[in-house]
Amino acid sequence: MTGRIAYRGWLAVLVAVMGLGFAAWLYQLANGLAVTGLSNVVSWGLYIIAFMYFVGLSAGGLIVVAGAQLAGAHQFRPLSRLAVLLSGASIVVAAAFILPDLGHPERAYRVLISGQFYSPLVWDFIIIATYLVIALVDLWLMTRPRESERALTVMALISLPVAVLVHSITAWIFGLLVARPFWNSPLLAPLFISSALVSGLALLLVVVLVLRKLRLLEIEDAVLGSLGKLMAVFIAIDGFFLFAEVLTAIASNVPDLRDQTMLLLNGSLAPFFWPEMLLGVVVPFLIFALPGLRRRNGLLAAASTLAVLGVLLKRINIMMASMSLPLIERAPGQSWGRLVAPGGRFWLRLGDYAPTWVEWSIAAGIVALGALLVTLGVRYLVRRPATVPEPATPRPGRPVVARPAP
Amino acid sequence: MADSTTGLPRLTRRRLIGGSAAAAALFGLQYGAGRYLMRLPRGGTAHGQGRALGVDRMVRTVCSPNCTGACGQNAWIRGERIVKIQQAADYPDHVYNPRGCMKGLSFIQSLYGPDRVRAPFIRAGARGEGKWRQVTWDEALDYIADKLKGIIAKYGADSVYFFPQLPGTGPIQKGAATRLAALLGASHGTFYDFNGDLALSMPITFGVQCSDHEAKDWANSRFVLVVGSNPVETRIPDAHFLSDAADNGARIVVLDPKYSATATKADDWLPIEAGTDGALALAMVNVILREGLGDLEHMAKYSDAPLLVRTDTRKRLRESDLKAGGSSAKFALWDEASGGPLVVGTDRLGLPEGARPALSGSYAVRLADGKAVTVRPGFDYVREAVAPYTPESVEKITQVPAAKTVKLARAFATTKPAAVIFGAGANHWYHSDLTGRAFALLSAVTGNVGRSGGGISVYVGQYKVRFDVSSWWFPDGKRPNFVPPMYMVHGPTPTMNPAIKPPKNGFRAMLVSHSNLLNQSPNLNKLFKRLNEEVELFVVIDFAMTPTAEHADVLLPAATWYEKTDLIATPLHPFLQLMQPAVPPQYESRPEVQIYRELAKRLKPELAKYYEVDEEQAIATILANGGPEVAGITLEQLKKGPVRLNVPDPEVTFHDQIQDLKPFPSRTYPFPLAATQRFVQTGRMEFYKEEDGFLELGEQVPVYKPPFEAEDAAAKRTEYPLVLLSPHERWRVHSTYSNQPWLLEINGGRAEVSIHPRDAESRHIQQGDLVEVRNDRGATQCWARVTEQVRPGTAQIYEGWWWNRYFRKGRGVNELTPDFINPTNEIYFLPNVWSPVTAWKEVLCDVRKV
Amino acid sequence: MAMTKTRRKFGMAVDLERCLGCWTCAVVCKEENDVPMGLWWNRVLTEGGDGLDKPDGTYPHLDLDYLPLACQHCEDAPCVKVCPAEATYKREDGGIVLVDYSKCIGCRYCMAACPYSVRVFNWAEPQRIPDFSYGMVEGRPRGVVEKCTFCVHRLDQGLEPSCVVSCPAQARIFGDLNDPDSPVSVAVRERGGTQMLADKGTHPQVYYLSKRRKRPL
Repeated sequence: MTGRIAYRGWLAVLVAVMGLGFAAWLYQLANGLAVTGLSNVVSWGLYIIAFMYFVGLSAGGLIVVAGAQLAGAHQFRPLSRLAVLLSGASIVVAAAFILPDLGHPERAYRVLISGQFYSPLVWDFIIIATYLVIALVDLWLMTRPRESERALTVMALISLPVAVLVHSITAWIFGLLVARPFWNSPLLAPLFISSALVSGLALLLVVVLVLRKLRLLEIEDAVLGSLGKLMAVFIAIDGFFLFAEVLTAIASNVPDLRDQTMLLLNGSLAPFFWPEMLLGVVVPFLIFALPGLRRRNGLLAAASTLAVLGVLLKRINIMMASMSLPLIERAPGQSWGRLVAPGGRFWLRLGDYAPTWVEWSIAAGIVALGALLVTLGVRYLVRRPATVPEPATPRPGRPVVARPAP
Repeated sequence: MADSTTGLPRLTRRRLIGGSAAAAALFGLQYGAGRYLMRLPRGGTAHGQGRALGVDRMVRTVCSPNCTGACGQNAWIRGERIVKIQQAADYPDHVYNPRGCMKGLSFIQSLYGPDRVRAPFIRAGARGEGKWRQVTWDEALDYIADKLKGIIAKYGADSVYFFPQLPGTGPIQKGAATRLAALLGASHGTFYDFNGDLALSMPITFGVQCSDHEAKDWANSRFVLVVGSNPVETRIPDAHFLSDAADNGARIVVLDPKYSATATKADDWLPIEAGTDGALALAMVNVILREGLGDLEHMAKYSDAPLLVRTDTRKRLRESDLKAGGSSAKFALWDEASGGPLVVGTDRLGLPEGARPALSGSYAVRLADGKAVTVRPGFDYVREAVAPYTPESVEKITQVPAAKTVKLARAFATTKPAAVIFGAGANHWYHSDLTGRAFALLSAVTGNVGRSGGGISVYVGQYKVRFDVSSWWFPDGKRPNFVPPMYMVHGPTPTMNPAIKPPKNGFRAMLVSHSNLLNQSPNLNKLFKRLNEEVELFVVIDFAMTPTAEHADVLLPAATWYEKTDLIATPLHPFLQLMQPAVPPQYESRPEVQIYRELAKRLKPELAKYYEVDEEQAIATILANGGPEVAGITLEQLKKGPVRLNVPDPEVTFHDQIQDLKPFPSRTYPFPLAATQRFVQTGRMEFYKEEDGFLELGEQVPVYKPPFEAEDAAAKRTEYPLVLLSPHERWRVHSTYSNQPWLLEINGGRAEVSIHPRDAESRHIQQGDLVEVRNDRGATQCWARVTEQVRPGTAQIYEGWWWNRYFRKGRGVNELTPDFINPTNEIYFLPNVWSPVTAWKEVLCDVRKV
Repeated sequence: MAMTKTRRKFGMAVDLERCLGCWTCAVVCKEENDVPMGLWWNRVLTEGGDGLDKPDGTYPHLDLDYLPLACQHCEDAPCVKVCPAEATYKREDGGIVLVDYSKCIGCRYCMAACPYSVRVFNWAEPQRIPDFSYGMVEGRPRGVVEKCTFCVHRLDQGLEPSCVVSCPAQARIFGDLNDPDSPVSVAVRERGGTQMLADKGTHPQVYYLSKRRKRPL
């Protein structure tokens, strides 16, 4: 059967990529973070960008589902398992991205159990761990033979604030740093949440569309339509926050802040920023907002994909706008951080950064891990016959998910 | 509580709070449990900060590269190795503490770094090819001795050229080479002149090798005029005395074409056209004389100003001219009190009781032979010479606004004491003797000579020897045949002083120690030609694998100043100090005394007895015979720490002349006084020179002569429009520390040519571009550093970068530097005192993008 | 009146008038603390144009200052607040900011949080020239952040930091800021010492003494 071969092939590819990533990580463990493109100026890069991105992906889906559960918006009910699965997988991926970023990953457990309380990173470690537990419990509850509505609601009550917190705290990792004006904004947490909603929901949409295309999931157009409408609202809010942020920065006359913002508008980050604006905000917004466009599945898929990628660009921009310029920007700059041959680039004044093959490989491996979790989850959890308080009989011979309650 | 319509629990505020509380509880539980389980104390543990490591011992020695700073350093030893070098900071005069810069502190990288020459090598390929055969010391020494014997037999002992740079920075060890050269009758290099650092104006004016106040005397100054000197960058341990001077209310003015590090600290920086400093000095004197601000009494008492000059011969009027049987070593002034000439002796400065010397005018004198001649006081010539240099006319030369020059002259003349710090930027020119004489005149005419906080101090090089080393260097009174290396590069000149005897059959063997000659000689291509055509044996003794070492036929590993014993004293801080081995010579290195002992034994067994002394015995001998400066100082004292030389405090040159009326010159070691007395036969500061060489060139009094006369005559200015300056940089002492890894991290590790954005733009050159710098002598490739720091019309390559590593192509800046010999430099010859001075900065070039 | 012995607060004043831009402080720091190739705890920045020792302005109207920069040992240190592992901490005696290398997880959050960009990370296995452990403290392993410690190992022996005792320009003054009569307190008070990026509210214990007023001709 081609489906089976494709499935196994897909798994094989994922496992292979994970293997590559793992090998790359071993290489990095053996040689230190010197094998990355990071430096004493750009001291955080792809790993942390991916970390915040996946935290966003994770929080977004769950907030929508939990919100729907609590608001009694039952039309989204069929998506809840998938959403929780995606959330869980994303948070695993996000957490996994922390490890290769650490100089001493073997010491990371200490943070979880005895961190320094004032550090937002400690809050984040804990909230992520909590969040993962919640996602697992949620999944367990949803796949019980008898799903308990009460339990799900309690879980929704717990998970909603946690999901909001997860992303707020991730934002505060950056936003509470007085050193970096581009991050040090009260709007950063709302902005992270709005982006999380955009990317998380868009990812859900993409996966749903893919699964539906593969006939692995049945979902009604109306659900997609309302998700699309929701997307338009989220993108609008996100775009508005971003506009407010950038406008304030430009108008601020604070040199550091303005310089960093100008990097985005017409500096080295402009090639990332304008696509983010155009393809990640404007185009998807139009598609989602205009019913005529929204109803076309191809466009919906394209818009969702663009929204997912747009937020990735946004994460890159948020990181690099702040990291590219050394804080005390005077010659000769900050050291690159490695033994450099005479005449080589030792000092950095504009921190340029490009991930190395090691970083790409590790990142690919971790993303493959997430994809594997989703794949297996779809197969073994999402597509399991569900039992709702009022059981719906699955149609024989067809992949079945929960249908909307009448 | 279930919603009545949906049957689902409703979201209520209570539930939301409850949910959040549950989340918070989870959070807290994890945290608290973890903290309890780990039982980690809040705050760090001491061991986690990095354990303090102890050392086993500490040895005080002296950092002795060619900056001649001679900074006392402590070497801290753990196990067998030096793990830290830090300033000893033990000078009894606390203002000198701490003394030492980052270069010296980084020396563990030289000691144990990858460029250390670790064993003797004999060349196995072509010269400079980099193929070596590692040999034993015996093999290397036998090989050298055999070759030398053959060369001496074939060409004569004078064809062997010893080049132990710089004896003043290690008179015992480096003197061991001089000693052997003397015993063999071999030729021997000179350095102070070749390095361009000898200010010939000093022997011309004062009859001494160098005039310098100890650095701490800067702080006593109330006006410091820094001329082409950059102490903030190149005299790091002493530079703070400028800040001290400023703290004491002094005004600091810097004269430099570039915005130097010192200029950043100055009250005023006068950007000046390169090579025109002399004109500015003359304009200042012009203003001072015109406005009556000069101290003419000072001039009359201490200088040749009142001494009469015959207008017919342009020579001085001597007692022998005036009366039969009179002395030709006595001179006359015109006494306005008696209205006639008055003979003055040369044994004492000052004026005869009651004399009122004329400093201007023409007077008729009847000579002993009855002839009537017109005579004029020397100062009348000076006044006449200075007259054309009005601030307005000089502005066209220096580009310093006339009004500024006037202000400078007035401030300098009316603020006492005022010091001149005269540096390489002013001295590395063809006519640097004239420039120096003009500034000496400025100092004298304002009465600052010999005064604390005043004077003219030359801090270029500073290789002068502080005590009499003849007993060690010149055994049995034998001296080597000193040949200035400029004649090796350039070849003999028609005007060469007859006292100079270049080897009859050429330079056939060279023993170069602690010198990067093949990097640091002017006109390198010419020197390489000579090396390859003439030199049959090229021995290099060094601790670093320099470009010169790369070209050795035999390369011997030398001990550094942390591995041997010597006796050190240099001028900037007058302390006698002991260089002591902190560790034994590392790897297979050896101190020079040992090397030359072995070589002497092999060359002539009868010479062995001259080396049957160890360093401490040699030091004891020198201390016993070293002259008044070291009288009474013992080795035991020195082992305890630095001892101040027996010199006035603060040490001010010509203090004895001004205070005690002792005639000029003071003694220049290692030469007897007579050797330098002939330079100033009047026993006074001489601003009028009567030697034929000066008369022929019209340089009997300080005048200004522009740079690049030869090139301008050949219309080379259009082809090479940029002046190429090659100043010292803080990261190196000449070429030493070129390769220091820490410093390379800081400074970028590649040679750069600095050019002004305007010059860069017209050549389409951008920051960081690979460029070629060329003139008729050579071409080299390095990287462009586009900066407002340098004057438009100038290009600047800091000297010293090892060309084989830090330039892209060519032999570095010294492919382009000239081997000019100014005939005034040949009027007398005294090694390192009156000898051809390299005009490093008299260079035109062009820069183009590669 | 009973004297209460106040806790020491170590501080430094850097005299920008005296600073020569020579980097001796930086080199001696590297040597004293066994800092490997590629990393500097202490730097001397150029306040001027776009390169080391390049001035600002147009010839001949130029300006250049040096700015020695190392850990500012902030009273309210952002790095201490963000460190998740309690590796970076403020020592009570002297109020110096230190790193416990045995706890550092290498997340580099402190580097992101430091407004002065003075923290460096051991990206690779430390490489040294010469290739042995020099200096007076044990070197740091790969994967941890390090920075100026005010030479805490020297302080504990009653010595001043190496950059202070080795500055050939005598541009650094060190001492107890809680003692109003200490030379550093006097210098800060009398010469109006300023803190870098004071608006960040980090309250550095390193002060800068400004250049003197020049007196052009």
